[in-house]
Amino acid sequence: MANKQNAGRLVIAIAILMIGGIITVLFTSYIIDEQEREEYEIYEDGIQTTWTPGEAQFEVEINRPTGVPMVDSGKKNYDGEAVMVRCNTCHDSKEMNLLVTSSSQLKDFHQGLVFNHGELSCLSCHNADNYETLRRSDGQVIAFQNVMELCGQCHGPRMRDYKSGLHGGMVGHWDLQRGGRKRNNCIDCHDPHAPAYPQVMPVFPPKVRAGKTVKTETNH
Amino acid sequence: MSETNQGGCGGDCSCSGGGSGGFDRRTVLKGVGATLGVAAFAKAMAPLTEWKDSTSVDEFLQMHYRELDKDQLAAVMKRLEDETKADYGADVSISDVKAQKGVKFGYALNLSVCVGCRRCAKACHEENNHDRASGNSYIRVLEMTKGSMDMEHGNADYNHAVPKSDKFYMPVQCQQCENPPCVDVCPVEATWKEDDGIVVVDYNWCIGCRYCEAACPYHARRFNWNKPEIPKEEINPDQSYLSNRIRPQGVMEKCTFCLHRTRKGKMPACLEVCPTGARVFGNLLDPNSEIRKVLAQKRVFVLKEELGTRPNFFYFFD
Repeated sequence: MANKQNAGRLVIAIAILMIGGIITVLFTSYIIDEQEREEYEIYEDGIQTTWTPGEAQFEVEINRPTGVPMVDSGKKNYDGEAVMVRCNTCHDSKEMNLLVTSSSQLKDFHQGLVFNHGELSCLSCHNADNYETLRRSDGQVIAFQNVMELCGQCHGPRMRDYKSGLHGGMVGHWDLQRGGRKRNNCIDCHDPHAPAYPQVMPVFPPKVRAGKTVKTETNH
Repeated sequence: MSETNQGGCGGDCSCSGGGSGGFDRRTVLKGVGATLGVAAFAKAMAPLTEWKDSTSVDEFLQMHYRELDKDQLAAVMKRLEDETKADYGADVSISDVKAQKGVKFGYALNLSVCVGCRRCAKACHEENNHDRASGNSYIRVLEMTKGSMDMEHGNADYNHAVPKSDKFYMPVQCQQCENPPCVDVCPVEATWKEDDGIVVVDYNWCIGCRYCEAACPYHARRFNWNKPEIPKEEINPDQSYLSNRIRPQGVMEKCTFCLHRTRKGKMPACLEVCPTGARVFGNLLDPNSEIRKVLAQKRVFVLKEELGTRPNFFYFFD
């Protein structure tokens, strides 16, 4: 009998321990859940930063040329710096041969200008009446600052992508409610006279690892 | 059976047997065995002495990131800042930026314009405080043969002028999968998916088993073989606990879409340096975001779709 009683007590004790354990586990997991939920209430420096779709608070700025482009005259000043000249320094006084269609026909200036932009010629974009401006195909004169308007005449789908934000590099904020953004202009990346993106050497070359050799190819 | 063997001693040996003076063979073997055992145990435990130097008691007792309350986490980050100061001499600020509600990050990359210049990989290397010696980066730019879509045949070791006319270039980084296999295999829950879609690692909870590295079909996870070596002046001081703080040796790390930047509304570092504008980043939940326009207007695909990982990183063509 004594043995049986002892066994009974043991069973009861184990059962109590098990129930206690289960309750503790449930309780702690509940507490952890609560903590997690609290953590996702998002505060940063005391300001709630939840995102609500709404009006952009900051602007998207598009890079623009600061003025008319300057051309290297090929001469150096006393400090050894290249002397840059404005377009009208020459174009005001000189008679231009309007039939010139490629840089190789130029004898005085713009020597070595690489031109590789489809079938265009100089006056497709430049304005013969005032070389410090550009001219659209419909004859409308536009300033160098608005050069993108000129590019957009032919590159419609690309322009559409640019306007949607799908083309062109940018820096700044994806979230315009928290900061502005600065976007590249067409000519920040593309040379208007040879717009194809040039070949470059990649940066950050791979490191040589054990058992592996890295071939450096020189052919282009 | 010979009775001479019952003493545990060979027949020819010089011991007198029966334990009467000297050692019998069994005792000697036991002694040798015990000595070797103790030596092996001591050798096996030796790393513990080094570990004691490199790991503080606080670090050892630190709880999982998701179990830390605000004050505990602040104390942990303060300790990490002090350790960075002691180890690297740099003053850094480690913060804990939480996921924003209503934001789910998506990334898209235009394969038509990527030239493979690897500036993104370099920017990642610098932004995320990678070990300078190994040249680690979360981004691997693959040179692919036109017509092939199999990333396993991409070459990451090219070093010639790019782009080559018969190649295209495909940068691969963490795809922040909806169904991340790397999270499933972690035996200690040191990696998980946050509410804004970013898969993160608690570097102090990771045991460095590298299961996740093996599980990732995009080869996106990296292991810290060594304690990262970074010159003091090159350390990016803008750090966060879950992203670019300097990782300890022996733990896994991965791309977090620069969450220390993107959770503050900024663009990731790899996007900002891209010279061709091939990268588009934004909030997938915002119907007017650029990333949603990519999905709506472009021919989009994801890597290894057949695996069912459901990446939040998209590739597209013009």
